[in-house]
Amino acid sequence: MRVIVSLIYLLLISALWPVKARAQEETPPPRKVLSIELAFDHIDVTSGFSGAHIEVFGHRRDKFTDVAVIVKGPEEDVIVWKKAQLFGAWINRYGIKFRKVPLYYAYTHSDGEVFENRDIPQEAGLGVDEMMLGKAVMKSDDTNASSYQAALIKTMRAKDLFPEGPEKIRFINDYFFRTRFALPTNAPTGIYKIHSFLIKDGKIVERDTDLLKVEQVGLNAFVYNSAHNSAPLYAFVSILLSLASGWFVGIIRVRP
Amino acid sequence: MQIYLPIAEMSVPIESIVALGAFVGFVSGVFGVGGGFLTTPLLIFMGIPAPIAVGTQSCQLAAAGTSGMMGYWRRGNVDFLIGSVMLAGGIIGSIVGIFFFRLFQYIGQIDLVISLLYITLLGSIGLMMLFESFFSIMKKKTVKSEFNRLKSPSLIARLPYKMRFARSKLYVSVFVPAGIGFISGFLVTTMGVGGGFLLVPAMIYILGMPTLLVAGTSLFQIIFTSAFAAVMHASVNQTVDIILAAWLIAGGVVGVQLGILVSRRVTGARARVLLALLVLGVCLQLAVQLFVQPSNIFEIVVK
Repeated sequence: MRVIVSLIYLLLISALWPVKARAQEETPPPRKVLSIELAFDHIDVTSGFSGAHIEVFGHRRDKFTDVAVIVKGPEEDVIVWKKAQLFGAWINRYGIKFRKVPLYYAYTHSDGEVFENRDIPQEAGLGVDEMMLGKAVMKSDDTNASSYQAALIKTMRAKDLFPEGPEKIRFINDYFFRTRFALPTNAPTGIYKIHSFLIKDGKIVERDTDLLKVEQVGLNAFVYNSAHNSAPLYAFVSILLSLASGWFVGIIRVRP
Repeated sequence: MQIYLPIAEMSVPIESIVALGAFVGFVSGVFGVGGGFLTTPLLIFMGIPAPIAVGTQSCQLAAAGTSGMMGYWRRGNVDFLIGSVMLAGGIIGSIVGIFFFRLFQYIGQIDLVISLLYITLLGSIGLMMLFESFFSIMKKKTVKSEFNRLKSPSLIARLPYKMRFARSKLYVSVFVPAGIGFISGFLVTTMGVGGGFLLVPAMIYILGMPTLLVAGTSLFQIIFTSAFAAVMHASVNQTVDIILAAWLIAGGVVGVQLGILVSRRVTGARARVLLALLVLGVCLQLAVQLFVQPSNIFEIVVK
């Protein structure tokens, strides 16, 4: 009996032993080379909102590395329509859908070897064209999505939602850096992702993602949330307010 | 000063929104028209998305309708019975309008549809007003106060479900007022206009209502039809921006007062020429946007 029990123990130990050993091998020391921090992880869109900046501070422990930072706004499906004339009127005739396009996109990097190796921008989605890769949903009769994509980028640029880039990261010393991204007034609300990359020897060796919330606050947030979460009540209150203000105007109206 | 609109999710100069409301209010004060046909296109020119312009406009219509109707109500010039029958039609029209709106939103052509509806409507009304006021100036005649009523066409007379409307002294099929209401409901939801310019002639010539009761009754109907339309837009499309509506209404209050003061000093026909030119100007601007090759032939729509 004891033999059997000890055998089972032995089996259990032998089964567990390599797993434990492997786990120890795999966990790297939790000392990351790159760490970034947002000055604010929350941007308030008030009724006087006139744009804001996303401030990013960073530190790298190894000065012989390169750093890249990408800011991506909330992603949505976007349809790009090309107008053509029908009976003289310019109407939306041909459309191409782009899946999960970030409604804000900006990037920055420390130059260096980031662009020496073409794989890095593609891998990281660094650069507008690289970010847009594979987003177009081709239809059978469309042969060329590139002019649609160019139009999309041009429109977003014009609205300052894809700011012209990249701007160089500003290093305070060899290790500390800061960078900032301008959010225009029409910036979409939602969760923004700040992706950071550490590049060494032509390879991305570390990557991290921080989140930033851009949302309406105060009265705006209240109106937005009630309109989306309790639409019938919002509608009812809106119409009551309208009727009441109409009534009020009717009372004070100058009568001819 | 910029103000952020929570539903449109964009910043607009508050001055121009208030000025727009005041201007439209002024026009409606001078001419006694609703002015919705000006607000929606002007909002679109300002860059507000067309669906939000139309959806928000339904709130504004309910407000303007209420203040307009109160005067008629005090004088007892509202036929609530026939107005309610019209309202029933208006609600069905709103529901059909919302589906129509959704359909064209879905296939990406709602802006085109709104433009085309407006060009047709503003063009025909503007021209009619221009000719009418032009001829009345030429002939130095005042507009006839008595209208020659069309004899009810036999088709209308033969429609079933006749009902007696004591206040209007009418015995007519419920389908006639309900049909007129239906058109109004459809216009409110798809274009953000009350449709008084269509309703009033239809009520006089087709329905044969006493002219004294027409304005108040059509306003009564428009208030509740646009209230219903606002509820539909807000719950189905989330396109009612109450902040935008509030500033428009605030501007409108001031504008209407000024308009009423001015209206005592302007002569009818000449002023109507101005209104006709204004309407045609907006129509022309919409037509230019549609028919002249745009500088950017691409349009981006976020789903």
